Amino acid sequence: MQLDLNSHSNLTIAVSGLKTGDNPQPGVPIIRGIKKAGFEGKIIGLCYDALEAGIYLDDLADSVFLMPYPSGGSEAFLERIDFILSKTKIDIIIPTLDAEILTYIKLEKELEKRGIKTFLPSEEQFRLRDKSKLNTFFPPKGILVPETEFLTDEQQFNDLKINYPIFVKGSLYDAYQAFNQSEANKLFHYLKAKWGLPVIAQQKVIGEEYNIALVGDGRGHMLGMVPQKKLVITDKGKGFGGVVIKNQKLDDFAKKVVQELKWQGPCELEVIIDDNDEIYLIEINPRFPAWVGLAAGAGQNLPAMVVKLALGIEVNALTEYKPGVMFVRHSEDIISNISVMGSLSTNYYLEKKEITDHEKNL
Amino acid sequence: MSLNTLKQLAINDSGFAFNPTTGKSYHLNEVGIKVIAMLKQGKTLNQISEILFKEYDTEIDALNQDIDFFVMQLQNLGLIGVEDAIRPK
Repeated sequence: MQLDLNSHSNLTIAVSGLKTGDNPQPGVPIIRGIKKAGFEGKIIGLCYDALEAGIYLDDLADSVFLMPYPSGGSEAFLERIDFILSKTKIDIIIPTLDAEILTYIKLEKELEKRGIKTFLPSEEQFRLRDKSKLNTFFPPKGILVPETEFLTDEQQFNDLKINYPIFVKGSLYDAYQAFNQSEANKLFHYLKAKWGLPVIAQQKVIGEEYNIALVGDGRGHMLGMVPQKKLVITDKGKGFGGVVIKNQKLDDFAKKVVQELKWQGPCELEVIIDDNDEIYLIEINPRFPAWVGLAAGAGQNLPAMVVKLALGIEVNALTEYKPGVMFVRHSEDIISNISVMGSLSTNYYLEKKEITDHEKNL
Repeated sequence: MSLNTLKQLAINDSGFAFNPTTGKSYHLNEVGIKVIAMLKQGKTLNQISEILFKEYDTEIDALNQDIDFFVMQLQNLGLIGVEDAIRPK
């Protein structure tokens, strides 16, 4: 099999984003995808919080390191990478969180010097998919994006050119529906306080929402993609269940987005198909989604593909996937010991032995 | 619209139908499964009524009405075209 990782067991792969629970990150399913491809080498978990649940899973990471927040600057980030390298080698890093991707892109050369490979977009590609660029970059290329306005003052809601209902979005994250100006004003202040300015007002498109997990080759070609329709949506808007669909128009749309962006690496497209069968691009997340395990279940192990690509190995594009494959997410309690968390917090790292031997730890 | 969308519908023995193009799913009863199977084969609404009339103890008018209502639902769901939901006089 072209995505077999059996022969790469000498590698050490680091993956970030081990949070599960109500707002899960993609790290756990990415590691599981890599292991599913037969990888028997070392897995390192990179986390920002000692309570990310994936840390405490017995069968996941061989060691876990605590990272400084990307907002702390790339120097601190690189220092921690060097600290990790003093304990273990790293061959590949797969970053999975919106806020850290740009840091990894900017540090690409420094990482390379240290023998660490990534498979990420360029800074230009990354910035073109930003919420602030979507509605200027894509519509001239025939890709529909809902009407969007960028607000720096709540008074601007008085002159809004789009009609309610709208989505009011934070500059980096979060989106809430507003049915009138009063609701929009309240959301403006909330999102301004949380994510800063601008706050984004976007026309709500009435239709069905779909998500596509994909990998682009950086030259405008799609290397793999799996679309899903969410079946279970939590009150935070997170998909806790979904089913793989097969829609040629959606496939063509995703290929066009990747072609226009020349996207390299993993990403997730959020789209809506309206009642007139028009497809609107809502958002491009520059990393795998938390539901990427569904892609492997449907026949495309995209995380394993990214490992190969990071190593510079040519892979054939995956074109088939199984519609009707579904996932339902569950959460469970992991029993550990407070000393395990304490050890990670004070030493910035944990070895698997400490994770699995938690009963002896206090 | 032709019957293409309906033909893509995956239906299991218990009457669970999945539209792989949209991700939507539906539940069908025994008669609904038979009507869809016959529509997929290209049978007209009158032919479907004739076949089901022989199979079930019912009045033809009531049967026609039920089938017409069912295909109207299929049309509303975008699974068949307007022309497929009209019974020729």
